Amino acid sequence: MQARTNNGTWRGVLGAVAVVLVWEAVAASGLVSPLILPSPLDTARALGGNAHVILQDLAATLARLALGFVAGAVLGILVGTMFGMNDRMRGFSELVIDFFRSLPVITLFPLAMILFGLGNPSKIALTMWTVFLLTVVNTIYGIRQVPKTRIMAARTLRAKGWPLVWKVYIPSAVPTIIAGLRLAISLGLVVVLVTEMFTGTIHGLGKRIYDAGLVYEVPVMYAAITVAGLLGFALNKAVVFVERRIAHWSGQ
Amino acid sequence: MHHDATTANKEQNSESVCLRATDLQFAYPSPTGAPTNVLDGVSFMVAEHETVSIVGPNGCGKSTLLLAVAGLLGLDSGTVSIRGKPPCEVSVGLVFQNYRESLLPWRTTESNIGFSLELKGVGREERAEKVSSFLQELHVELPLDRYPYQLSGGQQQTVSILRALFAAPDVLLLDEPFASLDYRARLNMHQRIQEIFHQTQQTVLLVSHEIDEAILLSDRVLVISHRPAKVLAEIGVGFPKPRPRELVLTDAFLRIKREIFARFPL
Repeated sequence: MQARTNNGTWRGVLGAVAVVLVWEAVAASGLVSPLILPSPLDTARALGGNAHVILQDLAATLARLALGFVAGAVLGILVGTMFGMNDRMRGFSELVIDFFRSLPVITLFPLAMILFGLGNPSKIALTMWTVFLLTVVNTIYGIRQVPKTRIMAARTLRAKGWPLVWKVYIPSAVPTIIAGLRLAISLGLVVVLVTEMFTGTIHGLGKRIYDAGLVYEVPVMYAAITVAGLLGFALNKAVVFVERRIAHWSGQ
Repeated sequence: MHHDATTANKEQNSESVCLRATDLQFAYPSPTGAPTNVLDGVSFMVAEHETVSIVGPNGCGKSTLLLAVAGLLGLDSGTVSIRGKPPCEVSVGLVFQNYRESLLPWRTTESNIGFSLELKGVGREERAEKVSSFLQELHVELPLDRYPYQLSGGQQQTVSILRALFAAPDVLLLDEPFASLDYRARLNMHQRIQEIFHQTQQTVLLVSHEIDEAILLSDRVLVISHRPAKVLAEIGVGFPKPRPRELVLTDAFLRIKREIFARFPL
């Protein structure tokens, strides 16, 4: 098992190295203009030269995402639990949730800017909304799927009211909720990066990518894109790590 | 067998009655057409420290009957009285066939068994102490720090039964508790559970579709009809408890089995 996991990791690293080598080969061949495709080395140099700024951008992006994600997730779990437990409330909300889930979230950004201004609040609010919707849907689903016999057995052990929700319903729904959070963190990052490309941003990876593109600082753009990609990758891995720790029993 | 005498004795001495179900009626409401009648005047009693089995064809309403006794089902009419009170005012233990679903998989063995104490607000250390002395008294050994998915099926169902017993229920209701286990695990569970019930003197109502199991474990067997459920027959089992597994091979056992077989709705 251990050997297989190690093999898998090594193959993955090897694949990544191969892609960088191909990138280097294409860039060095002169077939593609360096204006469109700077070499990996140029990109690395741009990253080194702008490390201070890009680090500030990374911190700004991460802070917006963290605030939006935590607020959206907490609210989503609360509301989702309420709707999941109450058939009537769910009936009223079902169509509305389905509508907003189908609506591409970025269409709401101009409205968010009118409501919350051009600065951080509108970006964080939209990220929170995105995370909230995904979390609500998965929480409702998770709560609805709790086995009836588990609830009945817990009731005969005198679990009722809040302890029944907190100690039986919500833990049972945790694997489904975390699956939702994993989607939510990826989509949340997309929303943060896109909203950062609009006016009113000083720091942010989205802002850096957009600005570098505008003035043809292509190596800087590539550097910021790479950092954004690594961030998304790391966040996804972090959720998976948390999932294995908290929901170790799921799928067993 | 001698069920008339047994029943008469128990009915006379009303103090020894633990559970009495009188004329239970229940129909599932159906959106189209007439409601489905499930329980049609079911009456029976279980004496203190007695184990009574309910056998009947699949889908006859046995599980519905247990839920009604547990107070988890709104009856159309009829009453359930446990030690003179309605089910919601007493402690009822409930164990289902599917231990995977009914156990809390994020909790260890110890934490599952101690769940009822946790709900009462008892602290972690005291719970651990009480769970371990409870298991010691019953001579049961279980890996306390393992999660349900790390245990065998038989161990998981043992945890499930002990979790219910630990709450000291007035009556313990078991719904096909061994049906998911393989043959060997089931035979072992029969012995283990008999010892536990013998020691705790627990009053038990067991639903089973396995006639051998019903006879081996209980003092009386109730045969239930096809849906809507009625009590067709009541057969006493007089062997002293706990009983060895070889009992199922004896002529005396087979006589009782024949009697139940003759009354079983086919």
